[in-house]
Amino acid sequence: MSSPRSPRSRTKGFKPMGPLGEAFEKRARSASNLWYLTSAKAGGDIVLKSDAELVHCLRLEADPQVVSFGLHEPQFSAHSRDSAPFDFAIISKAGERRFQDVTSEHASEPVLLSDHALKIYQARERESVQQGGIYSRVGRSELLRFQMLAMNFLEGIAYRNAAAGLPLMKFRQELGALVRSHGRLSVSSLQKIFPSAEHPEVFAALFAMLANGDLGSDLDTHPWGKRTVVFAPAPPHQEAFESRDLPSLLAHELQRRRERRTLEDKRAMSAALAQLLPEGKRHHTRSTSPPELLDYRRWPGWSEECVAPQNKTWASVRREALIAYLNFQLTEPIAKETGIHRSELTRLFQRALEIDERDGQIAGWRILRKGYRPKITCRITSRDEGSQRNGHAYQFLALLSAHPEIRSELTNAILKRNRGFAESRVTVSSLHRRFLELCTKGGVSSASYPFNTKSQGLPALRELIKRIKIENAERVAELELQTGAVKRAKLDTGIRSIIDARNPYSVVAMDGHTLDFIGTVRIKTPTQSIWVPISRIIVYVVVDRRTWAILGYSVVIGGTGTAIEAMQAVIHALSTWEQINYPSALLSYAPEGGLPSGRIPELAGAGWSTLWLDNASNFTSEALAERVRRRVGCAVNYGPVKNWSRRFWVEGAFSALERSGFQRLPNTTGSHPKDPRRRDAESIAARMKIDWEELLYLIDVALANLNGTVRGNLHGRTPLQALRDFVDSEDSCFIPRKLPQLPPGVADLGTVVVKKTVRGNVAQMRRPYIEYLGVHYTSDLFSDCWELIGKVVICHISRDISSIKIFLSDGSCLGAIHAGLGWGGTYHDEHLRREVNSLIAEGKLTRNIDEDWPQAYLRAKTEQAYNEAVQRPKGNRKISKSATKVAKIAHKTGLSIPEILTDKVLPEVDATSPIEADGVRSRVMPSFVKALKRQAEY
Amino acid sequence: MNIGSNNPRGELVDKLPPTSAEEQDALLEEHPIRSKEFMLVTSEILRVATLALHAINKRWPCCNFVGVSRVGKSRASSYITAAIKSSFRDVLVFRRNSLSGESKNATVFSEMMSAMSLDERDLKTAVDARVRAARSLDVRARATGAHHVVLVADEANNLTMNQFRMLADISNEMELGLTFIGFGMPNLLERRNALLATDSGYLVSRFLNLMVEIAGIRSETDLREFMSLYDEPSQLEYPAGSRWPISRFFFPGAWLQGWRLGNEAGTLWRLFESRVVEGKRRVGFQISTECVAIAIKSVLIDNRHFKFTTTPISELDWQYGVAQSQFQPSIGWSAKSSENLRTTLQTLEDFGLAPPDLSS
Repeated sequence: MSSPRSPRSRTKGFKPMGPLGEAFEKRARSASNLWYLTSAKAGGDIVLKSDAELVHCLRLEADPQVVSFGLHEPQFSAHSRDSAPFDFAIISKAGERRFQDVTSEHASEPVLLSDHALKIYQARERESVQQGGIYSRVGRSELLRFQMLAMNFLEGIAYRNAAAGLPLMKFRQELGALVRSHGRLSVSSLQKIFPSAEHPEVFAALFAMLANGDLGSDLDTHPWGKRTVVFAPAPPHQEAFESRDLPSLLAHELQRRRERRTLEDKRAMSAALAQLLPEGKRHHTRSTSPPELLDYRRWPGWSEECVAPQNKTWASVRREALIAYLNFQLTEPIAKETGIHRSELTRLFQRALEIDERDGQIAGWRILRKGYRPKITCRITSRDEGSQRNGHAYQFLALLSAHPEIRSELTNAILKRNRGFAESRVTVSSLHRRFLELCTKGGVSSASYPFNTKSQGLPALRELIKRIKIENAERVAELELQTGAVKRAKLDTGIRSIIDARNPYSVVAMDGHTLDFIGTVRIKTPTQSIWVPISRIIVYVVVDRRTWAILGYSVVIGGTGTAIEAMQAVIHALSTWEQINYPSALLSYAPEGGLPSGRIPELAGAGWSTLWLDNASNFTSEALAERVRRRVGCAVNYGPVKNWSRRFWVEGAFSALERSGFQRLPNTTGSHPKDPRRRDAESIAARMKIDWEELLYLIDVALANLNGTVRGNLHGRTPLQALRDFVDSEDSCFIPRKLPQLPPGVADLGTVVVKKTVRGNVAQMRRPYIEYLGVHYTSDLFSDCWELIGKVVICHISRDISSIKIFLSDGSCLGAIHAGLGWGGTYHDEHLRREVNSLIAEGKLTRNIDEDWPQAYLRAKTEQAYNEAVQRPKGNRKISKSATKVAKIAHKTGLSIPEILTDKVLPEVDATSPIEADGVRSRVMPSFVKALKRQAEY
Repeated sequence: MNIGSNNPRGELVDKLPPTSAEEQDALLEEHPIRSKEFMLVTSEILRVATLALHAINKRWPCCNFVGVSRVGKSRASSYITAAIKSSFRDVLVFRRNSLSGESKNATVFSEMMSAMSLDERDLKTAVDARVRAARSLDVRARATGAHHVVLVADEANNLTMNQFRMLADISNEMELGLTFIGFGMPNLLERRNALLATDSGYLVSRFLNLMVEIAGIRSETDLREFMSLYDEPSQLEYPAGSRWPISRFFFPGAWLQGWRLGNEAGTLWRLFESRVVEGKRRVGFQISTECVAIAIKSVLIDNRHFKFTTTPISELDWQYGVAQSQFQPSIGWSAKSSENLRTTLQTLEDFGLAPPDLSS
């Protein structure tokens, strides 16, 4: 029984290990996403909990003043009320220690925090001071300021991680000498000296030097690419020289900023004007108001279109006057020029500073709209007995104002926030009853509203319910709508992601999809062929975010696919695509279609900066989380649980693929179980005789053609055209990032490295061999290495385990060793070996003398599929698991499906009569045959 | 057709150069390019030969040349054998004969032994047989006036460890010195690693200590150099004595207008380069000389023209030639990038040898 911490779980496949595994456990089913990457300054692999943390991490990576940083360091004081660890603990070059928390909220300054948050802020600040550090919070606005630099360094760490283990010192020296001799160099000039396709380590060295401050660049203001400028950094003494030359006021300001800020200093500055205003009315003039409030350019709400045409003159005169007033011009000239006197100016100024209850900001320029009211008018009218007044205007609002607990109770009931079990469905009538109960409980008399009305506030309550649902749309969607609607609510929020997919190959996602059509396997007998339906095929695709281009894919027949099969999509994206030659009448390649690696040579073998995945077990395996990450150098993102919308472009690609491709085929299964198009897809597939090999061709064609289809979000271009523009256009900065050659002895993608002990026995003359998955491996060279018996060697095992490459512990290569009899002749993978081994152990599989085990397995499965198909009533076509297995084995091994020889087919042969070939005399039997016959007779 | 006339130098020649397209076609039947009975001495072969001769001169125990397939190892080994024979009078050289089909079970080792007139079966069983073999070699060497023995072994990667041990025993018993010149595929390195791992380091120091790469064509410059050999009458002239190099024979009119095959190197290099479709790095990518030779042969023969005076070969013709060569790019192996070797592969400069002068 596997332990909970072991890599393989019986139910969910491979679990992530190490820091990623711990992060997964802590995250559970929360909404956060995880980033897994390698950071040089963090000293290795790190896991980040949000996009904001990633951006900040990249900023620290880029900062030459930062020597190292650690993540989620625990607080040391046991007395702190806030026990959450600091997000980042930073050590700078000056030896300064800093503790930082990252938040995605805009407000990070203390003056902008609520009281509770401010207390926590102060507590953490005290903690950091006790640890000898400085505390600060990093908010969204600051992150956005460094977004450009962070995105550039996302590319940078991809360069560095892909070149990990390679010697960069030579390139660093050459780069340093070049830049020092020229002063400034652009990356395009560097490319002429070091072509990036041949020396990708150059850019790895460049980013390392930028991170350490050995070189400077304009990456904080401009995107990384051909036009990036690198220069030698200014010597340290020049900074002091500059500050001496500055006017004293500015120098003082610079000096003040360099000093450590206290809370009081921070209170003096403010990013949000409205937070500075105390509640209640106060008389503000331009002399008494803080300078930030006088900055009319930051006032909200001015738009000429909002002003009615007949009021434009009125509004523009007052605006002109107010601006002059705020610029401290004398009021008399203003009055002469505009006709607006001083009292009116101060009145306008007061109105402009009032807080708008709707959004919490000052009214600003909105006061120039006729009829604008910053406060929600609430007329409190009392309805006494005997009163002749009929109206109940604003009564409901007045009631809620007087009894705020009623609104909060109703809101909790609608949104099911109350503890305990909530009703499965909350109706308006039940809410109305609850409302009346709350009114009674709150002390509302029966002579007052709502009890003194016929409807008892029901229409107003309906409006309130509607408003609450609109204000909490996402929560309502979770409660009342289907999952698809819930996920769709997360799209188009208007909030721009902090991760900017500015260039192609910066954000790339991978996902699997079950294709909506049925294929068949052709099983041949000497007299006929039958077509047996197989399970739907799964395809894993890698899709670029910026251009929606499909970069690579892999196909899985039968089952959900293993991590290795998913990784084949990555390997395919990194290799060069070629068309498949297969004559088919159903679909053909469009002239403008294809995959980028095959159509645009510069993109063949190009890597990406980030890979976005979901939390499927095969994506969290070592193959993808570690091997792909290390080889490509990218950061891997695991999105929030059950949130496909985070990788919407992959889902969009699948949708387009189905709509324009497979759902148009006759053998489609449609888009849902009740889709009329799926009527008897299995029979149609069998009648159409669509072989599984043809299906693989169709998949390739469909994906290639999708890349040649015009997309609206690409300004009328196809994904391939968009990529071509990025590569060729002079305006584009994009540089395809080629992966460096691996150092000798380092396993490539698709290769697993294991250590094995060499077996054998000199005394018994058992030659040296290695055992892997129950099979002995050796070679002519290896079998002579008696001294290796008992020693450990390193085995590089590729997808084809019919041979293994072995290395000594010092890295010397001993070449390939091959699997023993029955296994060494046919391409097969570990999965197939295990299946066959289990069948052999159970005695359910035998092989003929002239076939390998994979061939025997294929033959056995083909026979099984045939027998099942012929036993089924005619016309009853169902998906056959055996036939699916046959297709899977044939696909993996490259073997062709054998012909089945059935008993009914073999002709009767008379063994007693002599057989003579036409035109040939009977041969004389050799003498020993006669002797054998005589023996038999005896 | 003129036979038995004098060429412009007054030398008696078998055949004169063609004077018409019909004569050209007739002479083509016996052109060495068809029968492959010629060898272009490339700079790589000269480089390898220089080092091998230096090794023999210095009486080094071994010198091995390692390269991927079809880069010209066998050609180099036959050239070196001839060069040794002509350069050293006191050296007895044996070269492993190619598989002649005499014995179906012939291996590299058995062929080596038969080249030295030794019987492999004897050597396997009796130690004294090896002693006798060593004596026999000494006697034969002295009979020819040789003071040193050289063994040139092609496909040395096929030798097993036991066979290396036998060779070591023989060389230890010999009174004269033995230099082993080996040519092999890159898995010769694995054989060396295996010997080191199995405490047979003495075999490495005896036979596999020095390893140098023999490479194919790695750049446009290399290709231009190779193709220019077709323009040199000193490499091959046909008809014999006519001073007509290969390219002139096929395009005499263009030749007179100044066209040379070496000038086509840029086009051919681009076409070969475009066939590198695996998306791997181009560093380490090399074209085997045999592929280039096949491509050139195909283009020359199919497009020969007697009077053509402008550019005689188009890009399309070269494309066809490249397709005929069945070129598969050899990318992976470059010894200089292999840091795990106990002794890194060396170059001529490491031994203080100047690169060979092609003009000589």
